[in-house]
Amino acid sequence: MFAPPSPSAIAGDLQAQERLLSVTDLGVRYAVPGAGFGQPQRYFEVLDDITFDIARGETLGLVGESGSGKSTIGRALLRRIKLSSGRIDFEGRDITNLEGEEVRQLRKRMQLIFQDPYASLNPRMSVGELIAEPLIVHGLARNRDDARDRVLDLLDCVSLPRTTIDRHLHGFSGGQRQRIGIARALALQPAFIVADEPVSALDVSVRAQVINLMQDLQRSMGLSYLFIGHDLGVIRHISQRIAIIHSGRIIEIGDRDSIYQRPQHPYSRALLAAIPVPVPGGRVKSSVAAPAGSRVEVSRSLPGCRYRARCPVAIARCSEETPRLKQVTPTHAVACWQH
Amino acid sequence: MIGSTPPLLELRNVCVNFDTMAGTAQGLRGVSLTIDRGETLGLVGESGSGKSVTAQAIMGLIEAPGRIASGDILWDGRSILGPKGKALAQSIRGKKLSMVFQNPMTSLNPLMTIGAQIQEVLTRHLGVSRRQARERAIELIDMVGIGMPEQRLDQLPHEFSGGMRQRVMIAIAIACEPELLVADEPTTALDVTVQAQILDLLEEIQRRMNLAVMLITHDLGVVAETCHRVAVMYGGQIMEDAPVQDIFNKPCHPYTRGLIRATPRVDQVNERLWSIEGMPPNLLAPPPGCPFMPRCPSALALCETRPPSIQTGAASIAACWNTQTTYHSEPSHVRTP
Repeated sequence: MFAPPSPSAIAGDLQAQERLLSVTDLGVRYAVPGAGFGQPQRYFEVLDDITFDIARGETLGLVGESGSGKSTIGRALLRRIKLSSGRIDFEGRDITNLEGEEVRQLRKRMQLIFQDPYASLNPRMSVGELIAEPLIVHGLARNRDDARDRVLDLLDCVSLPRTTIDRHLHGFSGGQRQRIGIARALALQPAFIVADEPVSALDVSVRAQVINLMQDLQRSMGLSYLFIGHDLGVIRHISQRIAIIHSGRIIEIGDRDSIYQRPQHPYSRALLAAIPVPVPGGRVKSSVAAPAGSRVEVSRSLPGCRYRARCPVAIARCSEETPRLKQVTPTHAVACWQH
Repeated sequence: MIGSTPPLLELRNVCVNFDTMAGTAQGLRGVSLTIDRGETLGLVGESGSGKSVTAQAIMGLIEAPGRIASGDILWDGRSILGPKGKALAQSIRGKKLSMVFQNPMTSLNPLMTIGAQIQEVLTRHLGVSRRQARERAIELIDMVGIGMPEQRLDQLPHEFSGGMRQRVMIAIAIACEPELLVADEPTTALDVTVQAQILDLLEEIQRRMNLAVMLITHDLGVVAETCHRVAVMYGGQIMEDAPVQDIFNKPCHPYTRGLIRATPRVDQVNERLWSIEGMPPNLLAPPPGCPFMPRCPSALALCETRPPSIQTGAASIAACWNTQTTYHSEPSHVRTP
């Protein structure tokens, strides 16, 4: 069961057996309604050329602002939305075009933990029913009684008392509900979990408990996580590698220390500089943050870097050609013409 | 306290109860606080700790089934509670005392232009003409850093981004030149780069208008960056109240220490996060003593009794029997008879 967390690179030197998931040039786009008759259909590019790998036992942190497409990446990996281009390989197999029953089988191996533990669990079901449901759906248990032992094991796994099995959700705190959500995701013994802002709705003291739990489970079960978040403190703590996404593109990806100590993309720098540090007088107010009063968006249908309108070091080339991820060190890549 | 001028706002032992089907939930259990002119007080705590209830009590927004059960709230030394304080309360709320809410998406009327919403405040509280109100609204929009104020005034809220709407909310809040601004999680719904801009804006406005700000947040980073003084709440009570440097450099209450250690930071990495085990108290039946006792790593038998506010520094108090520093006032503070 135990798989040591592997120090992995962005591409290239990962061994095939170590690599759990790899995404190549993934694109997702939505049709823009309102195109008149005879006019060409217009599209909104939600994700563009997304490429990354995740190793077994590894956590990749995915950071970006609202609307950047970070949740969409998670949903695309789980095959919950239609891809417009690209390829996803999981456990050595191309899963891009799987359908029907094959997708269903895939869901045993990859699961999702949601942000809001209040909205993502059915309040009419008991804790036991909630955790047993995936087992029953996938035919691993005939009914709730059949699944009981497994459910009790799962409650132990997430450090909830076994007596909670017959209780209903009301009366559970946010942290406890998130533990139930995690137990439910673990029921089918997945290899990979997409955690979409799993601790954003939790209070500081409870958040630390859930993060520690997720890390313990990762170590004991060899899980891989795609940890989606906007809190760069949490992301730094939990991730081995980090990808920063802006306007539907990964603009920088690398190992944790490189990203935090030597961010290369102007957007990454602005993002890191904007975070308040819990030390009085800690943040040096800098000019790298976006100019006041602007949220300049570059149209996604135009070529070029989408950060250029806010970028302090933009050059002519930034609006002519789209920069692609380029290695700056073996474990760090950035999509910027300045590099 | 010895000085002649009373603090701008003072809460004295305020208790707020909510009568529910399950019993009486004690939202605030004896909260005492002061804010001085020009000061930024951070009110920190987790959900259910009572920070938003404190703001609501100050703003007169506690509605049935909630009620202020006891205690007093004083504005410039005069009560704004009860029948006696009603006239004063009405004259200051919305004018000298204003508020910015967490969610700028839902606090603006989607069917009214931004200009009309700012002008409404001005005509209602200051009784100015429509023309004067419009001129002032343009000034305000410009002041909160929104470009092309004259055109923007005629736009509807959906034409503004989240950060821009929060700027509009701030413009409305400062329209009548308040003396105290209560900001309840003003940046929680915003992205970090936008949050930084809004915090900078609040700081600038505060300096310019000599405004007192009560900033409610759960983000210790935001507190460290913007506040002069911090009050830490837990279970409806103030656990610690001290200057911002002291809160972070020498926290006296075990809860404050736990909160700081449990916060993952961008500037350092720890192998394992410190976590405070257990759960916040049930407000329907809070423990009789210190509310943090069941989770406290250094609890004593004495903690079964509610701790008094113990002086831990020249301007610091902590409600803990176990405070690590014993404060001795400086010789200069000791009056010789």
